[in-house]
Amino acid sequence: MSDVLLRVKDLYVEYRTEEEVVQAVNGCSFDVGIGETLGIVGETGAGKTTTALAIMRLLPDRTAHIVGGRIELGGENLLEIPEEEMRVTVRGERIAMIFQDPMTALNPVMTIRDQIAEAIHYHSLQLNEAEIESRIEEVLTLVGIPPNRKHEYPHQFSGGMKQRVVIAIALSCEPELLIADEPTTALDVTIQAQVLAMIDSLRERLGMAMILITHDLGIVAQTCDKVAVMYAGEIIEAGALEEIFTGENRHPYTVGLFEAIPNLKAETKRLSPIAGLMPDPSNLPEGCYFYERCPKAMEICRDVHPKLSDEAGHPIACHLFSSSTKSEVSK
Amino acid sequence: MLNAIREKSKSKKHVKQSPTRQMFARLRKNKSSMISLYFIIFLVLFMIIGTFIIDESLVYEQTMDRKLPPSAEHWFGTDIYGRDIFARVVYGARISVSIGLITEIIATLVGGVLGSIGAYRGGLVDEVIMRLTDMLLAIPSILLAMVVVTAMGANATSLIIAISISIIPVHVRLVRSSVLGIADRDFVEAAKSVGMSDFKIVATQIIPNSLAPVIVLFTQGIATGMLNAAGLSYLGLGVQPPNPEWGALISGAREFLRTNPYMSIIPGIVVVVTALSFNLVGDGLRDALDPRLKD
Amino acid sequence: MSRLPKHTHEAERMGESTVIKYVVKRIVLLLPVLLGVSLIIFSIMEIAPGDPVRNLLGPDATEVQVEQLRHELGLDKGFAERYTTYVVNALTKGDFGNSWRTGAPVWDDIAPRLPVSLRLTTFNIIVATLLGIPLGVYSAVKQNSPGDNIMRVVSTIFVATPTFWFGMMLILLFSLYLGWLPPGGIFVWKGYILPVVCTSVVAACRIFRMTRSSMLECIREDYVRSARAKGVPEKVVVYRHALQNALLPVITTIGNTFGGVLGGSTIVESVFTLPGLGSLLVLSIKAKDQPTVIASVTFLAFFFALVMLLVDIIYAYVDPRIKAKYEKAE
Repeated sequence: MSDVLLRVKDLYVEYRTEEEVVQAVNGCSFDVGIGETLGIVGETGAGKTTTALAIMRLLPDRTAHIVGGRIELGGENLLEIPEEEMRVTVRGERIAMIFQDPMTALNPVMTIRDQIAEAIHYHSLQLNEAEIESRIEEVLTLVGIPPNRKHEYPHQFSGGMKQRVVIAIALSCEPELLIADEPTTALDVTIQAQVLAMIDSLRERLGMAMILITHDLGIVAQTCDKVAVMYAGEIIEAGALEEIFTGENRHPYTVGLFEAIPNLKAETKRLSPIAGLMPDPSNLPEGCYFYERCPKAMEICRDVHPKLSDEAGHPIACHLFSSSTKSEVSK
Repeated sequence: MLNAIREKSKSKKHVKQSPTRQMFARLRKNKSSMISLYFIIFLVLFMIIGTFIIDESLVYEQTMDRKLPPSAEHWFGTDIYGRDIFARVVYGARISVSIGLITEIIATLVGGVLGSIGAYRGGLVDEVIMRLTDMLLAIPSILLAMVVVTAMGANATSLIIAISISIIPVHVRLVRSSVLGIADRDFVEAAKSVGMSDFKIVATQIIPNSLAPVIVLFTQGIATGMLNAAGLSYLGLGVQPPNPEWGALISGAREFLRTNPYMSIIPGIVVVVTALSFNLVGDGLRDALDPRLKD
Repeated sequence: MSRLPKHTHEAERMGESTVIKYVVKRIVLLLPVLLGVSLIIFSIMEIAPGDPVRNLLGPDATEVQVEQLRHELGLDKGFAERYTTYVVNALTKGDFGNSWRTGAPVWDDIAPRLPVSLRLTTFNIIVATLLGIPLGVYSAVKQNSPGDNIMRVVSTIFVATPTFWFGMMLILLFSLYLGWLPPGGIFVWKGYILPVVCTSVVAACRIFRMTRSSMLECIREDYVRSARAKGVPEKVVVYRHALQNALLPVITTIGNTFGGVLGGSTIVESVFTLPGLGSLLVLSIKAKDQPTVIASVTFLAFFFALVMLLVDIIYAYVDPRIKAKYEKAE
């Protein structure tokens, strides 16, 4: 499709240490359209952050290895361009990333003005001194921080304001895509709502696409157009918001996720979590990774790893929705 | 293709072990610390056995075989009084390493008690201990030891007392900050919240978890104490000749540096290797106890 | 590539007046520290067993001689009186009493030796810092490279080396064997080289290790990742973001190492026969000359305190969080 901005295809990432090899991302695939918001949901350890870092090529190069796949930004494979080009034209300029913990995301001995100026300075925008200053003030105002505070240090701001500074830095070069890795998890619920709303409106103003990584389905409902569900290093289901939240054909894991959310209205005595744990990423099973925990598991699930297929209306990786398997089973 | 990728990176099965076993496993993996550990054990055995095998007379009795370079008969040669240097180094090991060990034990005990009391009680008691410690720390430790030696005369006992006093402040600080750090942690609060008694908390939660830096400091402190003792003895302010404490021994070789360098080179190498071993074991322990500290 | 963006003006960082107030306050605090130090030293001398007068005169002295000397030296007065007289004299007149060894004022012995000691210590710290920090940074950035491994091994060995023996080996090689440098004394400027090498190499190793581990820690901090995500070049990430933060604990280490250098000066000055404060101290200890010992140690402790003061000031200037804590307390 011509308005796909970012396409991740069959991404494989491993972490190799002295003791073991951890298969963190296993054939992850998804698309983000121009101006679209994609929410990537999944449990801790599903590989969401690793995928994001892989897109930015910020993985620790001693232990992490991208062993397969393509990451296409506007058609160009980011995994093949030279590091220098990645740094100057992509990081911070075409794709910006913000992280979870605002308390440690800023350099404590630099003023916030200097940190924003850096983001502007190292890119291909040729601005002079005065233009940089005014851009800094512009972007601070955009995130709701009084520009006269620009010479202050990070410790002089509260958590929520620090995160705003982080967002200001991310937006300073008007990127096409913003990757937000659990941006509000470390914040109070009320601040959370503020920051999310701000991100959303800014995104709309700038026509920016966004990948929002989170484990909180509530946030996804508020801000995302599309949702991708990640499990054990791969996307097992992706679709429009309604399809994932209330659709008929859904992956058993997705169903389990929603059922685990406590019901506000009904009176329940016990919660219904998904039994079991995610498989050990250094020792992944042969068939479907969800096999052990799946209430609808079949014979074939143990042996054959399901691939993403569109048959159910949106991409799902599950034998339940794959016609070839269905015919096998009904025999 | 998927399976091919998986096969390529299939790893050995990862068996989870208990934390203590993991610690020993990590320690064993660190080759240099293991070698050092074996060396220290060898050294200690050697010292003990050596002092039985080698006659003490060799250490103190003057002979006519003066200033002989190393040979098959005298492995390290002889000194100006004809005494076998190897014998002196072996007996010297006993003196030097013991001083290092004893001073470290004293400092750890005293420092540990004071530091824990300060951290535990807080308030005025803590303030007083901290101020005293700060004042003592304002004097470089070697100088403080020298002052004590001035007051008490130069001999092995006063050297031990002097060095112990000079390093107690560092131990107090370390134990205090370690205990304070642990007492603040969530698992201590968790223990309190399930009703664990104070005593039990201190015994089972606080002490085991604050031990790590203390153990590391202890091992490396033996080396530091040994080197300080050697330095002071070298100056004539510690163990007096003819006792073969390593510093005193090397001091005696000073005037023959040009003519008989072996007298100072070889014993010095022994000192370096010994101190190095203790330091490496300390490093290995630190890495084993808290691998996050490593890289 | 254009120059780095202009930085926030220095003056805007910390109010000028606050800096001055902080410095003054810390200087004033030096005095109690020195009083504490001298009190400790005095007390140790006091508590120790043995009678200094008898030690000076030897076992054959008569009672009369002992009492006479005791009176002459002013040791018949009480502890408190002696201590206060000492402090008052020292602070007001620069009178540190008379040496029990020479009979002349202690200050006469100390004064000519001060420049030597100061020179040596300054060289030592400068060389140690100039060696230790860059090598530490290099080692951290190129972790596990052959260079890093070699430097780690070498520094570990040096830290375990007794200073006096290292000095002797240096003399053996460069003076006796190669004849390039004098074995002692400071008659020639070359005489400073070996003593400085002897002390600063070991000190540099300590600074190296601290810099390296501090850098390794800082490189893993979140804000470094943020900087990379912004598209900041790796060199700037390392030298501007990581290093600036990593240097903070290193500054403290340099201060502490300075203490070790001061203490070690006694040994180094002995090995290389240098006329500094350290060798005076050793001489006085052997002669049981208490006034000189007290004065020498106090002076050395004073230098140490000065350096730690400098460390604190630098810290406050460089780390905005410390400034903030201080400003809040105003």
